[in-house]
Amino acid sequence: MTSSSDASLSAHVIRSDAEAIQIAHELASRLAEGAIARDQERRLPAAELDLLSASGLMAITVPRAHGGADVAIETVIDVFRIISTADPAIGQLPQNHFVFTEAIRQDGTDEQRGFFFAQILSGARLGNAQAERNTGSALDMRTRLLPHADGSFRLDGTKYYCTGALLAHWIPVAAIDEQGRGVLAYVRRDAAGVEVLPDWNPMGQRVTFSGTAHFRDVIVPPLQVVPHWRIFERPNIFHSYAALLHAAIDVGIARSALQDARALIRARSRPRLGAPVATTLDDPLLLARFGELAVRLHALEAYLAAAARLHDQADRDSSERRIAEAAAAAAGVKALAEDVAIEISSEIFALIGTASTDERLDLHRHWRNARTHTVHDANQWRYQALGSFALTGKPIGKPVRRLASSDSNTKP
Amino acid sequence: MSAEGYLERADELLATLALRLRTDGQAEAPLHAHRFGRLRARRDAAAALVARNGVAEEARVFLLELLAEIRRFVPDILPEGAADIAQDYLVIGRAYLVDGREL
Repeated sequence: MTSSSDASLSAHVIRSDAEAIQIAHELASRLAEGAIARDQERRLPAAELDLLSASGLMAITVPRAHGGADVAIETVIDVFRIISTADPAIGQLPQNHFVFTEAIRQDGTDEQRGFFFAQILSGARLGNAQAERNTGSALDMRTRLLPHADGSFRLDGTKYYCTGALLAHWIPVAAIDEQGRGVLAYVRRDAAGVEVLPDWNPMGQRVTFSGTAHFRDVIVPPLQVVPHWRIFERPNIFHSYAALLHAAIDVGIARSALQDARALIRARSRPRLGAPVATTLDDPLLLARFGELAVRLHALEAYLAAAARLHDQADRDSSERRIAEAAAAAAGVKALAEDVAIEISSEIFALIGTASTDERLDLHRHWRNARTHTVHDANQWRYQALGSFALTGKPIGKPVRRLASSDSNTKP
Repeated sequence: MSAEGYLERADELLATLALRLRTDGQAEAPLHAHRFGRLRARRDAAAALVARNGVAEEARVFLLELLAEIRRFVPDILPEGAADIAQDYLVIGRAYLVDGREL
């Protein structure tokens, strides 16, 4: 694994929103070609991520003052949707990279911004090490970052669901500091004491390799510690932005599934057994159901873009009202994206018929990917949160991580 | 009626529903908030679709379905003493998942 200080890192620097979208489309056509093989063979997507880094897309949110394009959130979300339509695993891999780039922009020092943004512009990727298993709550953590006599810190802990960590240059690790506050320690992937395991074995999103990472007495200089607790102390769009990135992945899956179905249905001439029509495309029930799914997809895509624009507005004026509206929209889109992605990726089989179950088509990857990714968190509670906001004006809360108590339950 | 007209109708119905939920002290109830949020998400998706050029027919049919869904929700809430379907489902689900009733 090359470290982020490796001189081999180099990337194109994207200069505008339009260029970002154009490059995303170009990259998506290349990524789509190998999506089935990667899924079927569980192939580590090292070359694909290097392409992503080299394209400059990983740096599009770097502020202009630091040499980046600082594109609109609407553009970032569309880039995620486009890449995820080609391959949602490749789409999910950089999700945390964008979240933790934003964490540096929000709460990093000038020195930290200068250092990390230069890294990101040169193609470095940030992974993720947040969640832990065997704690009483999904937000409980045992990972600690404690001061050392030499002025640096020591990091100890074990994480799971570490999407992006295996092939990252840097891993932002959520930890609890000496004062009990949540911090982010950005550690080099190749630092002594860091071990990332390829032990992710899910039915979908197979090549995200979101497995285990161990951190054993890792030395962390102060430059690499971001006071992340501060993000929870003021209204901001940090968490709803992260949710919107996830939603864009599910929207991409829904589109990809329906596109595949359309191509296969149009290529068939024989109607399904039991349908009293001459050709497939004479089947009114099939046409109506496809139309229904298409409308749902289009409504979802429009909703995603509208929610992203709300985030851009909230990012500009930072009023509590705007931030709350953006968060509510992100909640609604993410929940609706689950419903639509699951419905489409399941229903396409009934529209196409038995031929759709041919393993070579790998059409079930859409459902497996949607099902695996949408259980990331309890989306039904996002509908509840949106409803509560609409009915009572109560803003949507933030997921604050905390130190696990020693007597907390141990649940996987 | 145009898609814009259906959107206005959906907004009127949702406003009525919201008012009734607040008046009845049900706005904080998780099941009602969840169901209202689900409708609201579809309403916002519909509004985004209405704003897009060239898909007016898609927006219209999407809104028609939403209106039908809102109407299905209204009887759960509006009539005095009407059975609370969502609550009934919760009780049944609890019997299978918590109390161990065989499926």
